[in-house]
Amino acid sequence: MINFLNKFMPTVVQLGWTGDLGWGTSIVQTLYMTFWSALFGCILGLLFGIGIVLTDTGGIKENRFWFNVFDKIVSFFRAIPFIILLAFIAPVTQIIVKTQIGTTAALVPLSLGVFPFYARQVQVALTGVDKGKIEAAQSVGATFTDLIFDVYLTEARSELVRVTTVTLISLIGLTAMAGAIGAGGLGNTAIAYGYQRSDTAVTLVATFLVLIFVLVVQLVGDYLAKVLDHRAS
Amino acid sequence: MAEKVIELKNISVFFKQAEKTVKAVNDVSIEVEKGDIFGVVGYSGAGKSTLVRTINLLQKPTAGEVVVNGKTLFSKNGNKETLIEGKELRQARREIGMIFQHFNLLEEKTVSQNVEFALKHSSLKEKQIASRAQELLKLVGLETKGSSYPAQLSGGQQQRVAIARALANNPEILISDEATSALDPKNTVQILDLLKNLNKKLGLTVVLITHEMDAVKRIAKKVAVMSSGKIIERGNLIDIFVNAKQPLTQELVGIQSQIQKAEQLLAQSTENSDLSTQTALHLTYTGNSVKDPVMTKLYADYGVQTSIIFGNVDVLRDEPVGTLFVIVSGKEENRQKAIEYLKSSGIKVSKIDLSKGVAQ
Repeated sequence: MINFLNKFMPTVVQLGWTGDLGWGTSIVQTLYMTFWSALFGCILGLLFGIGIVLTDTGGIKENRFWFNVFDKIVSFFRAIPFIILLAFIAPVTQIIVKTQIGTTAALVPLSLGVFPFYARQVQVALTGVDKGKIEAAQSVGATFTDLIFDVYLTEARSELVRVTTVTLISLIGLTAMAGAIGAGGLGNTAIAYGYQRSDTAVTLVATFLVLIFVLVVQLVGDYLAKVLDHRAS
Repeated sequence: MAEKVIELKNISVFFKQAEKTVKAVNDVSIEVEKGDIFGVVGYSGAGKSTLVRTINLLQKPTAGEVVVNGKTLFSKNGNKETLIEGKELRQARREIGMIFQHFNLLEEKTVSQNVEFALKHSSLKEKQIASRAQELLKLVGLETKGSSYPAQLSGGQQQRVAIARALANNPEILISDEATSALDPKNTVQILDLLKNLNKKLGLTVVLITHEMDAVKRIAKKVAVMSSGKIIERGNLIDIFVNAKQPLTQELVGIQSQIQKAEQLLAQSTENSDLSTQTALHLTYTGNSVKDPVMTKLYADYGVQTSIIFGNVDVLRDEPVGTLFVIVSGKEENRQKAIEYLKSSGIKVSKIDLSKGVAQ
């Protein structure tokens, strides 16, 4: 393998494994950014998604005011192109992580970039839970938390896994842009050391590695969604 | 006088839509006694579902009073409103079971878990909850299906699970909201018989909402007919069937279609005969009210001949109700006496004017 790469893609090997430009470093950076921003972004997205569904007309906590608050915030962040959000959010990033550049600094815009997307998907997944199930649960005296956890989140779990998969894949795409604020990652390798140096081999390898990430996420997601689904087809 | 378990007093439910107010339920009162099977019938959109949803406050009324088991759950007169909430509301709801047209089971929970879910806030310990769930599944004949998921069961079985869930907290009342409307005829009959059985065995009070007259005929003791948010007729099952006054009730119970059919047949069979010696009658009799061999007596004692044009027997809660359309021929005087005799033997008689239709 190494011999093969040495022979046909010497520049790929020259980047090395460790060190600032190394493949190992880029891979870890991509995983790091994906994991943490997925965690923060999805928690935020889940909260907003639930909030929107509950306060919407006909929801169990119908409330025009809060619905508008949730809905408008989500719409606002969804409307900002990510590459602009990276720069736009910099002052906030400064406050939260004390720096505006680097891998950790990218977590703030990544989380904020992915949460509205996830919130909308969660909204769709939860809206798909039959109102009748809510009524039936209420008729046996279910509490608010029962309705959230036992009805909404449990009944929509397979759908939630599906939308989480889509969101993760889209997030991996966003991490590629985070190179713009010095966050590194495979996307940065592909652009800075591949494309901008006209080194097709590096671009190809970086793309290939991203594809593997996406594939793994997709396969695991599909599997989980299927295993967790007991609904009538 | 039996104890009243449900009292809805002057209930109104209005929905505000863009420009107009829809009066889904308009000043309706009903009382349901302990151990009753109370049928509410009417076409879709009559407001029957909205009305009974006020019993457990899944639907909050616009005005009126809801009293269940002697406890006021809601009341609103003018601007003064009382409404139980939170824990109190949840506890009240547990005392009122409800089943639905589409079963509304939690599909990501097993059959046992569905029943156990209803017991989550009961005073029972985890083990007791499991055994109580098993006991309930046995009651509905599904003791072997505990670990199945609802999607693996037939519609009838799913509705049984829903019944087990509804009965988990030992409610005295069960509301059935079109519970058999999505089932095939065989499962419909089984579910209805199960409800009837539970009514007998547990003294369960059942409120049965349906647009299927057959469901009411099979198990209801009392019936209320709803149309456009109002109750237009109410009474005991057999009264409603035999003495339906409102055209809509007659239509629902199928009398109208029978009369129409009979009229056609009567018109055909009397086409070339002398109307002055004939009277067409619509006879209705219930189960045990007729003991005499009536037709024979009409001929032997009154000298009139009776030909049956059309007949039908309905079974209402195991009691047969017969409908006959006959032509009686003979002398005017004899026919009059014959009719008196029929009335005196417990048969409801209405004359049918052969040229104009039905007349009393």
